[in-house]
Amino acid sequence: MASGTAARPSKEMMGISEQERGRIVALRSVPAGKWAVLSQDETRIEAVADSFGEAAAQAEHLGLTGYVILKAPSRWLPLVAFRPC
Amino acid sequence: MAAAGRVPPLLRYKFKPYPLDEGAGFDWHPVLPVRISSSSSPRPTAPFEALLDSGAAGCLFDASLADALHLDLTSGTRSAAIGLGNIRIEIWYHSIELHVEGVQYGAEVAFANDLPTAGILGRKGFFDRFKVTFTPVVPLEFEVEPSDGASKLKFWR
Repeated sequence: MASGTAARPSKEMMGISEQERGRIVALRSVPAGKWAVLSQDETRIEAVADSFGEAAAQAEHLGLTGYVILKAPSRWLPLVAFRPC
Repeated sequence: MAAAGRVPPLLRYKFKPYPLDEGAGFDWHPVLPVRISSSSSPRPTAPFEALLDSGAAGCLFDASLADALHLDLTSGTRSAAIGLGNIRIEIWYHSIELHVEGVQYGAEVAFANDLPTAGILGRKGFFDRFKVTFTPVVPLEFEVEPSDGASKLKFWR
């Protein structure tokens, strides 16, 4: 199990809510390419797994409700669109 | 599951913050919690965050989600997709059910290995089903409501 803890706000995070700040800090704690279970209040990582299925199984095992699963990219960069070719 | 034809209310969401690499701050993304299911795995998956991307041709999900639905990834219709960086990836289309905030409907979506995100909701399979209004300035909200194709959808609440 991993956890992200809201830190003292940096200048970059001024003007956003405590919950949003906690979400950012929590997501930064997720290893690249892993699947993370984000708590209902979106401030804690409840579990980390190698696959979506494992993450979902861990969430169920922990009896979590209101959570959502995300995948951490190899780097946190802006995403762009795709088109068929 | 509610009767077909019951139109759910317009839904309003806040953009969600995502970190950028250290020193680069953060960015706001319009994302929705989504579940998916298939004929071989009718129980909807756990909810995952999918990015709304009106620039994307269709819906694209990480192959790990195909595994969760017990889909044989490469048994789908093979194709390819390309991003703005001219990076070509292999994709496979499968017919699945999407569960988007109380609305369930069938769509042909693509899956690919090693995506940087769980999934993208693009034009075919999402924006052709919902009217979405973005307010990409404070308060950073977007609204989602079924489009004229709503009668084709099954509402379950």
